[in-house]
Amino acid sequence: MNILIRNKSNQPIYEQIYNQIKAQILGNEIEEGSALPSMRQLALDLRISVITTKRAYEDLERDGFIVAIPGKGSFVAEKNLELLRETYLKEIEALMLAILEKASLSDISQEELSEMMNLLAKEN
Amino acid sequence: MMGLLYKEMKTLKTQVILVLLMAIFFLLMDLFTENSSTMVGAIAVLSIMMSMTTMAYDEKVNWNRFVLTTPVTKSQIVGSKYLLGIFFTVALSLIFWLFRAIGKGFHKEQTVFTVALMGMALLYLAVIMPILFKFGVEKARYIFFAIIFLPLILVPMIFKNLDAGVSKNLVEFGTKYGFLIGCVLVVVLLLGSHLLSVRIVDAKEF
Amino acid sequence: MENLLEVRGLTKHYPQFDLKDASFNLPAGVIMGFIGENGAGKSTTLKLILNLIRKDGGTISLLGHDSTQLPPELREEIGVVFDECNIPEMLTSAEVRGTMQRLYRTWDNGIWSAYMDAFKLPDHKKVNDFSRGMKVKLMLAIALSHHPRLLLLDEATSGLDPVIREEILEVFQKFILDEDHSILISTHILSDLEKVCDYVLFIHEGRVRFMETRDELHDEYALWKGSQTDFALLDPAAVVGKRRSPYGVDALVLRHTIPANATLEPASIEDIMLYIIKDGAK
Repeated sequence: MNILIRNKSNQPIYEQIYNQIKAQILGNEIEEGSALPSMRQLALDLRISVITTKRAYEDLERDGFIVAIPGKGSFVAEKNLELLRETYLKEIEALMLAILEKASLSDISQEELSEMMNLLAKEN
Repeated sequence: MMGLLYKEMKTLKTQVILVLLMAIFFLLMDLFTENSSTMVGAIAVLSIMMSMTTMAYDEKVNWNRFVLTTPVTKSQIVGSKYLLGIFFTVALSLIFWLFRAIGKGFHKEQTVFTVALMGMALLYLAVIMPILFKFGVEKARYIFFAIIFLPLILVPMIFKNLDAGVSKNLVEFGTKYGFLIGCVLVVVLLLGSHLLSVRIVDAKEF
Repeated sequence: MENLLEVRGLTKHYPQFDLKDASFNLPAGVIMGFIGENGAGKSTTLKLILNLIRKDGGTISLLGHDSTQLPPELREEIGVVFDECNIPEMLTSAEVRGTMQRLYRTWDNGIWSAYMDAFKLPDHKKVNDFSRGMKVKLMLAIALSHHPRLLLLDEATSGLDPVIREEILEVFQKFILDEDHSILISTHILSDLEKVCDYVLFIHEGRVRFMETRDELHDEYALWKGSQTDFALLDPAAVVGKRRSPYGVDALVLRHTIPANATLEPASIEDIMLYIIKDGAK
């Protein structure tokens, strides 16, 4: 597992950890069912506060990416395809809204957008 | 408490040599002159010096502040200093008795005299210790000379001025009843002194 | 999760200084940094917790007991390091060990030897001949070698070079791997706290100004830099402290009261402390 913390960033450290672990889980870099280091060990290794790692883990668990088993530790959750789809749909929705906003600012029509989309899909 | 006593002993390891040398000086002086009254002061002073030395070293590094964060109690801190003083008083008295016995022979009077000396030294301890705890060794520096030299100077003077007959009666009285009364008195005063010292240390802030 | 320490309304009067109404909790399993200027009340607070001085008001619960009624054996669970070497000068490390193993039932010679090696402290040299750094390491070794649950450290890492401080910070983090252990450390070396502390307790002029987690502080405060004119446009309630120069204004602001498009930088613990002390006297 790779985690890189940027201290000078405006983004809170627990968010950085959350995002990086989540990305690696979604990208299959950390296998389903594998054990994550304990919050305290992670804090020790990263030289940060244990409260920070605790928060990151709690958020990951809340969002279904990891499971905490009392007495054993935290593990990467079995990939729930529904959940994955949900996550991706949410992100795509946000991106689409951003596109629509930009389009309206520069007076680009929905037809033009659809055309662009089709072209790009063909190329990729 | 054992930890405290261990530390006192280790702290004093260089001092002990000095004190032994001084003791030998007094002992030799005692043997070669007929005047044994300086010994009275010497034992008391040498013993108190040991306690004073450890207290001075403690004060310098704020040892008490630290040791009060360990399981040691204030009562034990006070007690260890008393035990130290008592130990050296008894030890020096024993050495004195031995020296005297070897030099002048074993007499009952000798033993009685030594015991009386020891008793007086212990009384001296009982009086001085609360003062040391109250004012600390640094501040007590001003009465330092009085502490050290009073017994050495005053006591011989008192002895000299006592009528020969009176002192003989005193010794007789001493050998008959004095021993028991003396013992009780010394023990009671030491205990009282210890209690007073603990009260004083209790009120202190570290 | 229990609190190892609960302080409520702690008050102490001195002729030149007052500790007023200090309140905070120290939960188990955390490192709490205790910051403030010299004379702000850090040492006084620590001494009151340890019952070395008498309080004038308030309550202190230490390891579940009134701090003035703590059973002597429980003191084995507390490791203390002051900003001085409290060992009589003529003792050697070996003699210090001999003393401590008789003072603590929980003394562990194995751990002591490990620290003697790690800190490179000689066994038979007098403490008098130790350097300043060596003396601090000795006191730390003592505090760590009797299996304490709680470490109370008063400026215990000042005078140490950055390399050894780094090693000691790691020791502290390993110490709290056990969720039952906590550390309360007062220090001026704020960069150390940035790295490892979970909570920050800030005391100023005898009053506790805040007790928050590092993350909360990061969320709450930020640094704003801009021109005088831009500064004038800010909501005064958002500004905690400011510093004017001929070229502009630097300010410590409350992050959420500043409009979202402003450029903000993260505020370090040191920034927060300095701005509040120098300009934010509220």
